[in-house]
Amino acid sequence: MKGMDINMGIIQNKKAYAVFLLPALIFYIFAVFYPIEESIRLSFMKWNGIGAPKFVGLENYAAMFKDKVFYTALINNLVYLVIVVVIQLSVGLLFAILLTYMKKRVTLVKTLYYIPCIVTTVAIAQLFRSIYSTEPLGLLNQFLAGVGLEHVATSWLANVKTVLAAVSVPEGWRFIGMYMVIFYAALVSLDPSVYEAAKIDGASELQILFKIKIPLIKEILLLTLTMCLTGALRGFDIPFLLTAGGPGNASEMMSTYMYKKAFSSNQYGYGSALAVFIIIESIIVVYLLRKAFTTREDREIKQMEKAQRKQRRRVK
Amino acid sequence: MILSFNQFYIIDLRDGKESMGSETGMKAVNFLKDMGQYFNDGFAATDYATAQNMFMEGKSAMYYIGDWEIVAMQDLYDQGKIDYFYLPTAEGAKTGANEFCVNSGIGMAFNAETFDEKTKDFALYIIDNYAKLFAEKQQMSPIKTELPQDVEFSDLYLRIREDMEGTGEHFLKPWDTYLDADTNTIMQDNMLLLASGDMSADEFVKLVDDSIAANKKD
Repeated sequence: MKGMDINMGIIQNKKAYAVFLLPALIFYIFAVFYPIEESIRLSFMKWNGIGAPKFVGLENYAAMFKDKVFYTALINNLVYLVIVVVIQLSVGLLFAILLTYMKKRVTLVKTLYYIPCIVTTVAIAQLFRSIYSTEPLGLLNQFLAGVGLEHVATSWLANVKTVLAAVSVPEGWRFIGMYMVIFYAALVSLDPSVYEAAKIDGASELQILFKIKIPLIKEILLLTLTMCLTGALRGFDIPFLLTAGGPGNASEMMSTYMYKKAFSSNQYGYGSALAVFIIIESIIVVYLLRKAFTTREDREIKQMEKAQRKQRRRVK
Repeated sequence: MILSFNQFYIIDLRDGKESMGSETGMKAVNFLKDMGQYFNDGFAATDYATAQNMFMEGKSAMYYIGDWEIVAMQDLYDQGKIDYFYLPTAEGAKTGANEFCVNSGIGMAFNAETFDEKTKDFALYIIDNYAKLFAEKQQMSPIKTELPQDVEFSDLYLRIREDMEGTGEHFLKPWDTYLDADTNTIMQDNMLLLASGDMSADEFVKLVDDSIAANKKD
């Protein structure tokens, strides 16, 4: 009880708050806030990297909404997002659930599945380039030939119809292990008495999973979805390494297009406008997600807490 | 592409006075379209390592690369299995086969405010020594140099060096250096689609014309 009192004391001490939060806050301001502010400022300029930037108002944004490639990149990015999120979360969750039924060698499996997350992106891109390749015949096309589906075999990264999915899958695949570990940690931390009671009442394993376990890890689902969605909206490295948005703009993402406009076309202003759009897009997605995950119950609880706090302040 | 452009056309194209769809422009566009069939399936996704392998294993007939791969080509050249040639010239061309732009390395810039004795020393050291040291490794130096006597250079190296020394009097700047960076990026992105048949000539022409109009210096 005494230990808890001390803890409460620190949390209520505003100075202690500041001391702990300040370093991270300063780092955040310099590493995140300042670049965003600079991007916003540059997005109102026309600048080719040399000489003085010229203020052009909203011209870059007007050009953006008239740019066909911008819409291609936006739609491609959404397709990429769906593929990445579905692979990472559904497969991650499935593996985590299966893992909870394992009694031995859990750590070994966790470690093995986690490995792709720590392999450098360039190596992963090279790995998938080999898998998709036609010359020499890559793993995927060899497999298709092996099971009698030669006619499906194609050069996955050069075919405009398959390239978008082909650059999305590696990104989805590599982080399955990470989401598996997060979901697994959440699932094993649940109080077994809750679902054991349900089991005694005759609930099936599937019912327990969907009606008890998954609702109980809702907060973790929100967290992982946020990580996953914002990660996919900013998706850059694997698509850029595999195809650089090509052929043409068939696998162009918002961020690869932004990079190209800023650093290949030397249009830093326009590139920054695209960057600002990515930031706004991510904020909107997270906002909608939080909205969707807040049930009426949560809102009522929040309102009650607010009222309680008010009352407490009045008492003081 | 170099074949069908003449110097005046590319300048007019840059200035927006000519369209990519004009007679000269269409010659280049159709040339690219026709070329597509000579590339292997999946060419758009081929990396340098694969391209080199395909050539060395005899799966592709031609490989367009710079002199930095001399060492890699040496064995097959000695066995008489591969060789190199000048790009053919078009009828009525303004430059001969030996008249072309030889890129010699990457440009380096100095800032007048920060250029001091130490930097000067460093620059001079590079100019004096780099070429010799690089040539000793059987590499073609971007700075002209006498060949060191104690190294036995291969026939292939000496032949290419002779060609380098023997470039003609005139050359035309490569066509892409006339265009703005944005148009170049758009052209390069979409040339592959044009060659693979995923984009029509008209679409390509429109993309280039629109980009030049949008990027014209006001």
